[in-house]
Amino acid sequence: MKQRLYGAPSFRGREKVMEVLKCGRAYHYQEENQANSIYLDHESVQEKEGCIVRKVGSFLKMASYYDIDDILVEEQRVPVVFQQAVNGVDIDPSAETHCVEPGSKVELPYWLAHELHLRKVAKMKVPACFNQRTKLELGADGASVDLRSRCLYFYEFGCKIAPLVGDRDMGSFLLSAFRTRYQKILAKAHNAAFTAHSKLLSYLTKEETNLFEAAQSSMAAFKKWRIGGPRFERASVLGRKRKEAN
Amino acid sequence: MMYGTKAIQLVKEIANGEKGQLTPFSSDVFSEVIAECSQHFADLRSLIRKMQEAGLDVETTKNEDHYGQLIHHLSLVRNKRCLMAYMYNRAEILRNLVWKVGSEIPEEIQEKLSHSEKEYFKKHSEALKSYMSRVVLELAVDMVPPKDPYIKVRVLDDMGEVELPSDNTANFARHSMHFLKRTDAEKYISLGKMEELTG
Repeated sequence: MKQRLYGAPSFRGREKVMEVLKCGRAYHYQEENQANSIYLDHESVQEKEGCIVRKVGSFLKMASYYDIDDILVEEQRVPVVFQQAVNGVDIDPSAETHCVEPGSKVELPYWLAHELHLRKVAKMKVPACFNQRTKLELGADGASVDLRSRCLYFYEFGCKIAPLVGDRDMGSFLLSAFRTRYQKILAKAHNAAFTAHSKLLSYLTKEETNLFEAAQSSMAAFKKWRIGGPRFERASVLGRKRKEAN
Repeated sequence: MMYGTKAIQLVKEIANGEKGQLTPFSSDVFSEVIAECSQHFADLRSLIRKMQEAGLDVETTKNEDHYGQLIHHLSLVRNKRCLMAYMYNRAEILRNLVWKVGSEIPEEIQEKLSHSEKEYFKKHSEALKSYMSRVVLELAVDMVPPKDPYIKVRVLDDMGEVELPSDNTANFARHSMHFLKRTDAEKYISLGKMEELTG
């Protein structure tokens, strides 16, 4: 799988692009749907909308129950405004009782915010890492923006957020950002010396780091294959060999 | 403190560890998350009781207590997912280990495992062994056919007199060199007790 990355865009890269595309498309579909059904009563429109949003949501969510990265994506914080009162919970740090009043603003992890949003208990807002400034910076010179400090899972999080917050440009924005950065990452991974990497690596999101490492290991595997060497090695799960005392 | 922060610690432990490497089992954090789950369950039950006492229909009433229940329920499910993912990803490493080093757990791994993981390792390697003996095929050997059935190795760890699978015995003193059947040597190389010499 990793070796395939050498030369052509990897399968994983393409998968990502597809996912971003799907998100954008899902939103447009939702919007079209809404426009077509103007004459239906308000409630049924809302119901349809909710149904599509839920489908997209569950499609993304069911991708991988045990996936560590997916779990960490869903831990990202989203600002929400509560529409309903909630009793018996401690999620509003500014509240003195175990209650949340309607209208209170709280930052919740995505896994909670998303379910509450779908049930109209709270309304999600666009998280800070997708603000206008980031969009402008990425549009100007995408490859040298520090995305890591903004959100370690920028693309995956964006994909999950896009159909919920009603930002219709999110899909194409993520795709173009990924495309510009992908080119530079691949070129650097294949060419630069190891010492030159630390600065670049501190800018990359998790997904981009994986791509970078895959490209590097494919280069290393290629070199190893060309030079030749022992086939058997110590099992990597045992870790590096400890230096013995004498 | 936000719900689920303990559980995410476990997941981060897996994410931050080197790929395919085990870290010591965090039994403390693990049981703290389970305690948090029990707390959510208790809170959930008390909210249900509160609604029942007020004479409300628990299934259809959507008041603030209902939404409180919802949040406790979601937090429970979230904690469960984190716990499951922690166990699952460790078990995956263990399964790979069985294929690499056979039925004995190396010492440096042993100390990192919980009791149930040791049990799992033992049972998985037994299952693998019985399957291989049923199909009469050694499945754990290298997938690439060797050019030469014999290889030259150097012993890195003093092992003394050892009986090899091909019914020979050999004296593996440290730093001694041997010309062995590939299949005999594979296991020791992956355990780090020998290295292959080339050229």
